[in-house]
Amino acid sequence: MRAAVYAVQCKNRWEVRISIDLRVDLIWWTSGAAGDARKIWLLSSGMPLGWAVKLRDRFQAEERNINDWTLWMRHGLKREHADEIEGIIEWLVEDRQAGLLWDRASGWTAIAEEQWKCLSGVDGLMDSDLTLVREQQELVRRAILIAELLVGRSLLEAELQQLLAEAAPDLSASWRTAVQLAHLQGRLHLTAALAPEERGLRRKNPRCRRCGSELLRRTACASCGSPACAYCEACLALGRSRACALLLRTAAFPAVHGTAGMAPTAAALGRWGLSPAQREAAGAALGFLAAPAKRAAKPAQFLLWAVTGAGKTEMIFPLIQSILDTRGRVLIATPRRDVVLELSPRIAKAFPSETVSTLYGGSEERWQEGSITLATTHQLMRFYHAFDLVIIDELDAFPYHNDPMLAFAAREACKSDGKFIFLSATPPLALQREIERGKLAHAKVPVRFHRHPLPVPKRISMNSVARCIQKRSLPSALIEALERSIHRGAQIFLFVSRIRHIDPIVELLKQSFGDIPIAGTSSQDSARGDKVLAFRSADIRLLVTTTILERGVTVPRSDVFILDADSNLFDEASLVQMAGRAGRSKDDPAGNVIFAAREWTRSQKLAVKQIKEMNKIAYSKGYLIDSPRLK
Amino acid sequence: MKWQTFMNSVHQFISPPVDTCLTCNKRVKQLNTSLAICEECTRTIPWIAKPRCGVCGRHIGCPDCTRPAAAQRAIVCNRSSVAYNAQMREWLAQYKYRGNERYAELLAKMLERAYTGMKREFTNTHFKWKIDFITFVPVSQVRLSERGFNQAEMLGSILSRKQRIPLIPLLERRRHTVKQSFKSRHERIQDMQGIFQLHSSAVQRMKDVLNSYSSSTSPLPLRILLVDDIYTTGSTVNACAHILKEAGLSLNMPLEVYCLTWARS
Repeated sequence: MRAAVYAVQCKNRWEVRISIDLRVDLIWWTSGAAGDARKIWLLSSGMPLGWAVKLRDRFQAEERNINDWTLWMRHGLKREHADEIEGIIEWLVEDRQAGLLWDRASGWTAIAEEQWKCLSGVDGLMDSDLTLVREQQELVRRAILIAELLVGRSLLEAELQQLLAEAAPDLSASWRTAVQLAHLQGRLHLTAALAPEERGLRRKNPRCRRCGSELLRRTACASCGSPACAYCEACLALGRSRACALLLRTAAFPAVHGTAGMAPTAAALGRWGLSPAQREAAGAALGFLAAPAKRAAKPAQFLLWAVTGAGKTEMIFPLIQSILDTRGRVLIATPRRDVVLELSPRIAKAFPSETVSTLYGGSEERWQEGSITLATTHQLMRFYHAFDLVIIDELDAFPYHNDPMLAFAAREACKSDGKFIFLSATPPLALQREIERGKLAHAKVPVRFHRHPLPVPKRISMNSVARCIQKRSLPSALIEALERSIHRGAQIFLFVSRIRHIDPIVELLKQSFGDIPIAGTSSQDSARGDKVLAFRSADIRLLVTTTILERGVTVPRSDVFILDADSNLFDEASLVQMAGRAGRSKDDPAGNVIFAAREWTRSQKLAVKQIKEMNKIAYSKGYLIDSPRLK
Repeated sequence: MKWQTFMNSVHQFISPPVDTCLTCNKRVKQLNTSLAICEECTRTIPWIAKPRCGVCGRHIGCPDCTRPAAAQRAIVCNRSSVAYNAQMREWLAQYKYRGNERYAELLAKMLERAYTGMKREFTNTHFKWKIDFITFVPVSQVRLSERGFNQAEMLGSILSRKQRIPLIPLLERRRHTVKQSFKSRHERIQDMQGIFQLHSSAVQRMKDVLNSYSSSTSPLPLRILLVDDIYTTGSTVNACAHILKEAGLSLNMPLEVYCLTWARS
């Protein structure tokens, strides 16, 4: 879009301002509401919003006559001139509407009257708005409402319109007027969705203010008129963020802290029915929440390293409660939509008196406000300094892991003095190193909720899957192990490294085990959901799959076989996650895990080491059911 | 972390070049040379190699064109590159609604294929079929400023560049209609009344084209190629063609409107 740019003199200072409805500004500055305005000078009645924001944010203004103002703008937009069009200077100079609008001594000028007339007819600014401007009280009410609706938000114009259509339909038509007033009142920050390039000693590329990415493409834009208006290619899925797109944000309030100053008490933990291991970790996390935030560039972080099947969700309940007790807002984000859908009813049940909003692509609660927000990580881009506590579940899962865009969005969603808690069974190496160096506050939960040790993977040496498929036979060691599992009545996860191996392996298995139902599924299988359900209900006994099912799926009485465990597609985390599918239920806590491969790789060794280490800690802390020191 | 970043760049430097497919995001060694997407995606394109309906270019039998009301149609015919299926809908949505303008080039290349097919179809030994200029279905000002571009104009302008045929904006849209897909066939046709009008400079521009020919090689009737992204009932393109033909009549300039769309639903 385009925005007007003007300079206003208050006392002896000149300020440059942008406007999406200049009539509001004219009334604001001249009615005395804003104090001591002396002169208003219109610089442009409409230029690409990105340029307008740049002029406002970057350059100091002093009193000038019209020629000097033009020079000043020319200087400020030098880059844009080079990048975009040659006609920009003409555009600015030939804007006949530029000039003095108002002077305290002599009042309105002809230019101002011209502007007013113009604006009342311009697209999007209906006559009804004009009466609105006269009815100032009503306008003030609308500005306050719109600013309240946008608390903690970071929205593009199109998103604002969706929000208004749902939450305040009567504001839809005149939103520009209300937004501009809220902006003048200091309740709402208006900026461009892309931040311009910064030159100087450390040159910075232009980047997206919403996702932090630098992946930009320039195209001609009919909305602002620039022939090379940049847009962000990284976050297109959430609506297009571009150099001339309006981004609306609210001013941040300071964060609250979990039950400040108080040591976590048994009472705070008691009602949640946690196991001793869960209780200790949750206690440590509560201590972290209660500590006052340090002045730092980024919010404080805490890692809850809980083994697969530890009962992470129950552990975060007391943490959520402590923030809610101080009237703060909590966000639980996870990269995976199915996890959001699974968590939502559990959170709602644990906190029946709170409003929980559940956000994911296509969710119906997109614009609802809740004291607890559950969201996929992409949705975080719509928030700005909104949450006192951000909990990120499955930190290491796709697509959050290795995606700087989502990490940026998570950071922006958290208040600058808010707190982060990460949950993971297999934290990325970078975090593990930070723990070793003592730089990251953390707590480990080394034992499952049922207090039996994690199954330790056993090894079977066999040829590669490709070779087995070629020879049309499976090694007898594998067949025997599978037979034992089938015999004991277990459900069998059989992981392979490649999708193309699934069908041939299913065929081979059917030759050996014709009497049990066997199926295969992958990310490319549209019937995946149904097959997983059938597997859970034992209508399928053996499921051949890839890492797509490495986490999130809980099947009682299950055994895990990983073929080609030496494949470089299976890293330590992935092996631990797959192994974590076994022995999750209380009734069958000791499932079998088999790593079948030719080589015994570093990843396999590390995975086994990690599992054994967790068992050892659990044993020595007395968390296991058969630990000697258990009371 | 720094070391890892460094190693990543080293790795990228020594590993063979890999391209990312625009439509499926997979990294592949080589992209299809003409469309610049991966071979797998290229194979799934539902090309309309030979239309079953000679009028509207549909790939399946077409009851619409045999209706009595069809005699009023203003276009000579329509040809489309592809049948509109779920995947094509996704591609168009990526371009039109998500605003991923990288798709413009792909869709235009696909459109060009239908254009060359059209040319082959109408040209024979006695007759050289030639388009005098391309125009496109306009969108309303509100849509244009919301979306930032007009997809039909973009497709038309890329085709114009590739085929060296002038592109002339001839039409304007007075208001924007509610989404077409929510309406019945009858409603759509009703709705199109009075939506389009001639661009203020259109008549002059058409005259200019005509004047650029010497009188001996008089090209009449003028052949106009009307470009749009999708053909559903044909009501949009017919409404546009009506306006163009009326203008032609008033100028005493007979003209034929051929319609070229990227998809036929």
